[in-house]
Amino acid sequence: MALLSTILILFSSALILHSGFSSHEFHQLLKSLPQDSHSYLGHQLPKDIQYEAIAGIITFTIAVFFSFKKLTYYPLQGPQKLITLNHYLHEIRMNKATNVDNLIGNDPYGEINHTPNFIDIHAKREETKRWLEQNDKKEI
Amino acid sequence: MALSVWSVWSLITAGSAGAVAELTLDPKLKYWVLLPISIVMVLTGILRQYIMDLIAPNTKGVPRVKLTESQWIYKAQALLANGSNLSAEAFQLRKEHLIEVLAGGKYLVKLNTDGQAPSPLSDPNLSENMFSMAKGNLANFIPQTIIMWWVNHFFAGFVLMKLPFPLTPRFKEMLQSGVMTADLDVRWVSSISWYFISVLGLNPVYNLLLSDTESIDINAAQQPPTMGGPGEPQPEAVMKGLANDLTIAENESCFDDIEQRVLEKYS
Amino acid sequence: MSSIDEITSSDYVLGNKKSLLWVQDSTALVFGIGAGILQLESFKGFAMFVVGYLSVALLYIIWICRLQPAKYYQSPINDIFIESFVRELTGYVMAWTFSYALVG
Repeated sequence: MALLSTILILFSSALILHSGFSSHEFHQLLKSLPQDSHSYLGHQLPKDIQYEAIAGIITFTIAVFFSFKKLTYYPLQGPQKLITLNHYLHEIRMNKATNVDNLIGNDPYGEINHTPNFIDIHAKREETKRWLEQNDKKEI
Repeated sequence: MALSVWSVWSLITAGSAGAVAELTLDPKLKYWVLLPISIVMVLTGILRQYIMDLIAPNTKGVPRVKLTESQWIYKAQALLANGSNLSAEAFQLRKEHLIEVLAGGKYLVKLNTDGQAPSPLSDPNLSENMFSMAKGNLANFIPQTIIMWWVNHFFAGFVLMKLPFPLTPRFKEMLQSGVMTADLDVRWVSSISWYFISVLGLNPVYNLLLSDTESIDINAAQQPPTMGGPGEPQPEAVMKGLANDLTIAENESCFDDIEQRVLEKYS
Repeated sequence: MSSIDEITSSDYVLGNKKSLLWVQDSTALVFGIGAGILQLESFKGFAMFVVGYLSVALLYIIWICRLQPAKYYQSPINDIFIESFVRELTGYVMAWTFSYALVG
């Protein structure tokens, strides 16, 4: 999608530049005509240049919209495949915004929460001891 | 170049009527004026952005004792606001502890001996903010003045282009600054008008070009609000007031009559 | 922090606003260049801006916000339609004047 977007932006820039140049040439020619002749007043920009400019504009906006990518993330469990969500923007309500973080167990404030001073060493030691005892029981 | 354009223009408009007269201007005029002014303004904008990043003040820290003081006040306010979610015993425990702490003034910051509010120049936090604002304003003001002088000096005295839209005659003296005529339509403008239009309209261009640098001052927005500054209610008074409010607060727990409500809802 | 229904917000608010602003800025400038190329005069030029701005905003809501802008923006009407209007208008006028002068 991003590659298509870049190609379309280049193409639309080419269209706009070409139509701009054509329009410039047309107006140069128009100015060289005598001012009062009746052929001067009726002349509008030729249709194909108009359509080219409009097509360039529309292609540019479509290219801008194509540059949005759907959100993706890698799951920690399950098949190691890139999961593509169906939406382009992040939701802003907190319970939805932290959805992916909760799924993968990420703590965005982990640097603060896990600084050694904030961890309860005694609780962690007890937990480790209990886990070791359980594991020993399992092995036996 | 300006003289030749002037002579061509005066020849042509000698025979024209007032209203939108078609002037024939040297096309190279536009290339040599519009593009340089635009390029210079875009470059100065980018330069200004980088300079603002370099002279921006560091994140200002707050001493921990001040934070503790304000956090205790928030704790009391939160208890008053959300106490209905607690059971009666939990609320009572918290209420008594908080009253003891707040009334005793245990976590109040010791002020200086005079106890007055520090003046804006001496308090380092406030003066830092004021100076950063002054620096920001100056950094915006100086390039604008310089470019306006530059445009008026080098690109003055001729009509540059025709505006696509009409304006009222009031704008004539501002936009046709070098060319004082009585008849010329306001749509024919001199180069200073391109400067004015650019100043208004370059914001999208800056946004597209400088997408990586943050233009918002994030540091200032994330500073934790602290109690006690000149004119704000002092933390001591706030604590005493909160202690009083807590003593007279009655707790309506959400657990009162909960059995009755559940039965009514599901029967 | 917004109304009482949205108890919490997130820093994705800024990200969504940034992407909307990028779309609006780029399309406003290109519409301005197009208006100059087509040598549109005063009323038609402003009409083209209004039509372009509204259609880009509607297309954004339909395509990117998937018809649910309230999920992505606090106060969606204000954010999408009103907030950037003046800024895009001045950018459009600048690009319009630029290309009108160069092409004309």
